[in-house]
Amino acid sequence: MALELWKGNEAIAEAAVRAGCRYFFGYPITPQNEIPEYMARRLPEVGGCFLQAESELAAINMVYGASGAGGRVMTSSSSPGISLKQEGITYMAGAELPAVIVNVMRGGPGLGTIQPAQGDYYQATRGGGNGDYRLVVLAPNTIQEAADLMQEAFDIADLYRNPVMLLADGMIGQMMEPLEWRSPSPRPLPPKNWAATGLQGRDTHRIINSLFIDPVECEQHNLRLQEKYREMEQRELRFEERGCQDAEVLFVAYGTPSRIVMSAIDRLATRKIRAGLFRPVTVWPFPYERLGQLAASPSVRAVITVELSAGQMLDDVRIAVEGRKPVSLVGHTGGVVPTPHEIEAAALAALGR
Amino acid sequence: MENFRYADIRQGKPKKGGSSLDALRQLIIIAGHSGSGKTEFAVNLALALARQEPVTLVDLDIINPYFCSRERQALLEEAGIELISPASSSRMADLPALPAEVARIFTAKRRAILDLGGDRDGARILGRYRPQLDAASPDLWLVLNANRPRTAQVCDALALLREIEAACQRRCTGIVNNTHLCERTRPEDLLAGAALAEAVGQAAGVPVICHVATAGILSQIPPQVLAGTRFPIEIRMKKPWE
Repeated sequence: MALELWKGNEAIAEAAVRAGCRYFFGYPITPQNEIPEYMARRLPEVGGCFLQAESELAAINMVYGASGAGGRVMTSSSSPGISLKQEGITYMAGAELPAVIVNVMRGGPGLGTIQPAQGDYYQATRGGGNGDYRLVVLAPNTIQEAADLMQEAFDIADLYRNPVMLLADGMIGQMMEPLEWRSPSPRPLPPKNWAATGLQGRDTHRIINSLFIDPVECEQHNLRLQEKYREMEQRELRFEERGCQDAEVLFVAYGTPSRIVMSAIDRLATRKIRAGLFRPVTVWPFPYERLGQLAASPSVRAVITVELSAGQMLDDVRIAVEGRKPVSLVGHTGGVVPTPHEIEAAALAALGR
Repeated sequence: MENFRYADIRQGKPKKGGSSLDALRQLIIIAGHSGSGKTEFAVNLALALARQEPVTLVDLDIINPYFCSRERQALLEEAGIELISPASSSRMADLPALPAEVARIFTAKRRAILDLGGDRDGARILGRYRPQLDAASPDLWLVLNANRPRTAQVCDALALLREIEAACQRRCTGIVNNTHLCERTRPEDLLAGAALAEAVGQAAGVPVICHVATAGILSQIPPQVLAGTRFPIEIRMKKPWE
């Protein structure tokens, strides 16, 4: 297969089309505009439908409708727009509707900036909307991985009847990288025998709803959902380890910061300091167990999380490390990105050098 | 490689109405597909020319706020290059507001490079300067990367060229072959791009201005394999980890 040069946002959009996504509803916002722009041109070529809604709220409810009718559907936005979509996302989780939601994060809070950030980690991994629900949250750090995960995201959504989020930062959406198109290994998927597509000879309606007014019934529904989330934790966990064996410093980072950490690790190697990168590829479910094992290794003297936020994944890292090793943060907000030098300096400080 | 034939690669001969790196016009407009490497080429061209003459670089990219030439303000100013870019209040935004200082390039007697945003949307803003541009008769170069899927075929690249020409109401005067794969670029990428650039140039009736790559890549390609002007660059539009 030949390598091609793709922009992150375009690759995410093309990956969705290749995964069979035929419906896109969205509203423009930087730095993800290339996704709707690409879909507006591409979806009609494959018999799909692109629609620019009047607002993010309208867009996510169109996603609810298309998914309820059994379509492969997605939306994309950036931080403030994803905040607006939270109501629809929790309704979809409650109604057990599959869809893929892309968040190309920018600096916040509020309107913030249009430069890259990761300040929506809590929102993505803790639900975001009301109620007890979870999304599988995939966090690529290359354009190749963004394209691969985006294709698989639709299968994951259909398998569990649950929204899946692709969580990227602005740099992943905007940068150019070589990419080779490949298909994910197919998963056996259940038939959509719940979709509201008309009675078709049956005498019972299929009703798609997140309202369970009877408390006992609502708790039964919640217990079923929780069972599903436990299954996701078992089956959808992904992470990458680089140089973690015998590492003195264990970095934890996802998305763009993980790339900068790799440069910092090379710099530390020239000082004969062994540093490793533990990269959650799913930030929910979070790989607590494996990170805990690595942090407990006698060689590790410091755990450093590097984030484009004031420290959100930091909480999960602390849960995983359980106080066994000192955990510190290199965090930037508002679209500022750390340099390899800064991360190297943080490692030296943590080692007392 | 079977994708290209060495015999297809020839130097683009400057034609009437065309241009070359040896005979530059005062104003050079750099246009092309998004992600084709316009800004990388524009910044390197400005730096190369600034060694010999006063140069102004005009950042007219109000389409996309990432990877713009204004990000390299310090480097450009250190090299003595005048940078005209969106006002400081909107330099990190994507506001459709053009800097008033652009008007200066039409009266100043110095070289100016205009770095446009991508595709026809990026080129459309030239309409704002139509009378001045008509009088100045600038070069309009299309930067081509054969590894970008939307410009990998001659017909598609030509269609994009026509879209850009229609959007800015100007004729293209040359093709810049900037075919690469970031850090995974191989010499055969540039050669495949040369074949594409030549074919697009022939179809459009304009010359290939130059072949753009790092000195490391260019040194691996013997002269008999790639004729025409080579333009060595240093990567200036780096990612945060590079």
